[in-house]
Amino acid sequence: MAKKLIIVLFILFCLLPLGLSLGYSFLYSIGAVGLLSSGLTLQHWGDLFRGEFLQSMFYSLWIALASAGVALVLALTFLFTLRRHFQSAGLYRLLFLPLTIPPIVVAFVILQMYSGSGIVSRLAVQTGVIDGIRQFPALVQDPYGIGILLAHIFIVFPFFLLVLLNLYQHNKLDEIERVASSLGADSGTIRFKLQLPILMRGLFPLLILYIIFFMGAYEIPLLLGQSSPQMISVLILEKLQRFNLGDIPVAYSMAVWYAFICIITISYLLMTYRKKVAL
Amino acid sequence: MKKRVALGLLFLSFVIPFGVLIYLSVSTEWYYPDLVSHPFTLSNWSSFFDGRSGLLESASISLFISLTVSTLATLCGFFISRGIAYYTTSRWWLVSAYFPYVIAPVVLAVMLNYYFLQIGLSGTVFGVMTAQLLITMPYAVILFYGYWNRNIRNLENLVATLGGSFTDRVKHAILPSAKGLLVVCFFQCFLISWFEYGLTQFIGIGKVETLTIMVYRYVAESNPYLAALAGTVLIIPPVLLLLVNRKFIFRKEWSF
Repeated sequence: MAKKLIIVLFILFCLLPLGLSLGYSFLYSIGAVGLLSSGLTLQHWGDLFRGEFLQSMFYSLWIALASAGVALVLALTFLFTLRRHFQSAGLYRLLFLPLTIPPIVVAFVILQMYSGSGIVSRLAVQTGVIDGIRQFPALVQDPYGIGILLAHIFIVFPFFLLVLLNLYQHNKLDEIERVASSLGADSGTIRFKLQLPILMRGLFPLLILYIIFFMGAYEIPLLLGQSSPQMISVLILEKLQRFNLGDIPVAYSMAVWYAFICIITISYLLMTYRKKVAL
Repeated sequence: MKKRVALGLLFLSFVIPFGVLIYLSVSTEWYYPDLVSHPFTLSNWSSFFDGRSGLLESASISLFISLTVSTLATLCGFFISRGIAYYTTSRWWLVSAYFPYVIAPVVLAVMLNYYFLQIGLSGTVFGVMTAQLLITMPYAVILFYGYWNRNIRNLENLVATLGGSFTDRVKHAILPSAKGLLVVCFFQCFLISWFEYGLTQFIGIGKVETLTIMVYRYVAESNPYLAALAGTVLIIPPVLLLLVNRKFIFRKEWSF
């Protein structure tokens, strides 16, 4: 009885709300429920693939891939070149510092630093590099999402570096380097053919997880993103809160698609990596 | 030399955000292109401590929500994960715990909102706590799942064989070894709840004024001074946790 109760609790608190919300959103998206529902239709789903949704998904994917990619390259560079320095407790502890800042505060700080009237722009005026606000390049709310990228990298780079440092130690890559070196391997071969594949195998699931998280980021693109294209979470919210009630089923269609993409990706990841994932 | 420069830049990039927050929280009339020649004041901080800015109330609401959510998520997640580890065989149970967790909280809130409106939970502190539990509880289940290994099971069986009840098993076999993980889970759930913005904004419809909501509101009102103040207050608990133990901040279980 107690066994069943625990499982029921899990379904009740973890799965049922998600199932119900997905169900309602799906029904809304096909016109089965909702204020302006006029019968079943696939029109809203069809609309998705003609307009903002695809653009927004690709934009979100670009931001997520670029953020994770740059953070990964930075973390690997620091790992391979400055690893020994992180053996000092102070420097190692420093890597935890950015993890204490909430995303909305990171976004606010980036805005205050890199906006047209931000600290960097003021510094440039004070030092005579530029004459005024108009000469300062758009680094936030810009078409390339530079501000969003900066915020994401700030959040994830130290985390990647911490994980890589742990993986390096856990997999005894120092010893592998010594052995390979004594067998005549050059440093490039050791880095790229021995150490990097081991590190990437350990980091890959985490990388995918972060790409999913970044694709669904909300508060950072809300403050630092431009009005078009928008990241998917921001777009869904905007569609839902607009005065045009006709946009609501479209918002629900987007939410359903986005949720399914997340669920399928994480399921694939966890089932594929079942032996490697330390759960 | 290059290495020192790189490390110096790293140090600066990590410390500058804290400096910016504190700097702006004691600034006023910071007009472009002034950098340091504007007036400084402690009035923002005094308005925080005497309650005039409303941020003290927001901090209290945030603290109440985060403490309640993390306590409930930790306790429920602990026993639910035990049930899943002991009584289920399919891996899909665990995989399904990831579903609510990987979907962006704000999108989850959008999809859940209908039910919250129907039950009358929208715009209430209880509603926000319930919504946050839907994310933190699966997280706790995932975190604790690995704890229930053969050793713990054997320990439990030993206490049961000696005539111990379920309470005895929890008291003598489980708690002594799970204490550390329970504390880690409590603080990590606390931080998830403490950092949460999108879901809180959507379910709370702006009525539940947590600190993250206030940061965005002040930014939207072009009041960087109070936004910085709210941001500074927001980072105090995580920094304190970091000083106590970095395990509370680093989600190592994500490192697969």
